[in-house]
Amino acid sequence: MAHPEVGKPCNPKKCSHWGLSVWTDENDARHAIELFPETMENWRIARGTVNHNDGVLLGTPSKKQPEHHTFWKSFGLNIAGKFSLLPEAT
Amino acid sequence: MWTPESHPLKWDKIRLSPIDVLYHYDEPLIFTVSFGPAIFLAYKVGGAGKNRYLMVPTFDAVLAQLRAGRLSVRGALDQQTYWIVDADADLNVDAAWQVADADLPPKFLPKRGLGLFASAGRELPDTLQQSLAFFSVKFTGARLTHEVIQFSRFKSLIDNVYDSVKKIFPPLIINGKPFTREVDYNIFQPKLSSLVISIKEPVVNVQKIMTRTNAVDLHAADFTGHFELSRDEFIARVDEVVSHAEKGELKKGFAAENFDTLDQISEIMPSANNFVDRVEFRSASAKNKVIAIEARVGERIKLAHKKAESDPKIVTGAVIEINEQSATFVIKNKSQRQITCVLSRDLYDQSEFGVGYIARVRGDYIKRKRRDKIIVGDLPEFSSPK
Repeated sequence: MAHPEVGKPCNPKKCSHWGLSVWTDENDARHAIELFPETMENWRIARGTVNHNDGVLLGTPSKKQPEHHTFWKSFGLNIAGKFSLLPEAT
Repeated sequence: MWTPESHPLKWDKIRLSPIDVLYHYDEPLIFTVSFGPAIFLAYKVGGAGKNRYLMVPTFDAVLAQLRAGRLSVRGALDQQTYWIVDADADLNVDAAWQVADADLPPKFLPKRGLGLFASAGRELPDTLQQSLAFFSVKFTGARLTHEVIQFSRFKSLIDNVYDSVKKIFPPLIINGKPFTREVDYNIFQPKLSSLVISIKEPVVNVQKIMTRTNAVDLHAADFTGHFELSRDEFIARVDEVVSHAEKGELKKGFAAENFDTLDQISEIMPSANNFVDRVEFRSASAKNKVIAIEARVGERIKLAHKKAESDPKIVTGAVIEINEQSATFVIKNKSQRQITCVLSRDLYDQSEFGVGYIARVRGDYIKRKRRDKIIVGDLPEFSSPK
């Protein structure tokens, strides 16, 4: 869920704050969890395949997150079933 | 071990001022902050809703290597003492603790070898010295700690690495003369806790060489290629030896063919019998190759070297002297070591060669003070000089 939906500090007028931060390569997600073992201790990686009916995916790279993408889900659509949790790395 | 219940330091109300964000995911997770005149690297260790950061003083060289993907995040945080800082949402400091390395919860540091991003790879050096070194050797062991190391162990490791480096980098040859004493190596300050010995580019006494050779126009840069080639060839050969040793015991033939490489590294291999669990070689070549050797593999290499020492060996060198009467000839190998090759009359008569030819001989090797000897068992192979 996006930051405005869960009450996280954000600017509701900013389009990007209504999107979800995602990666398109599992390696980048795994790397993040290994890089922050304490902060992301209870995090899990959810993987799924989305198409143009599910929402909009945009590459939003920056120096501080070069593989960053933002996903805006289509309003009112439930796509949770398209995702599954990956096993934790040993 | 530090816990949140540990007694915090007395600190006036301070606000952390972020300068640059290096890693961001929903919030800044790794960033630099100014703290009076100093710059600190902040790394988030708090879970959801908790602004807890590990902070270490940092400087430009660390940040440059980290951003360039040449130093791991763990390496950028590498210190003997850390600050753990709790802050509110506006980064006003609520509490702070000074924590020794030994008391830091293990999960407060990232996994070894990881850069800022996955694209940097998973085998980055965990110390600044290694990231800046021309060539480095890192020893890891449960009894190699940050604080102290036994004097005898330190001496043993330093001596063995020094001897290995002298074998890895053969002497400079200029106008046919070998130069050993004119080359030395500056090293970075050795790091305890996983003893790291990092060597800078070799230092050549050009003046002395010019005096001995009567050469007029030599520069240290002229020899850079020699050392880089020696280093890269060593790494390639060790990589091959380790690949074989990982699969099982090294075969006799392989050990004989690669005896020089085994000889260069056997004294610094980890094993269950010494205090070193792992050895890591790093090269500052374009590929930034790293070779890590665990104790199990190290033992196979040591065993293969020990057996090969008494087994027939294969040596290669340029013929520098021939003695028809005694059916012997002398070769000089790549390390400029002279070896007398002793043949039976029959083998000698079958051999066709001259001074300058490259000889490849196999036989029982005898180490001696001035000139080693090899009792040649098979017909040598010769190739004419280029």
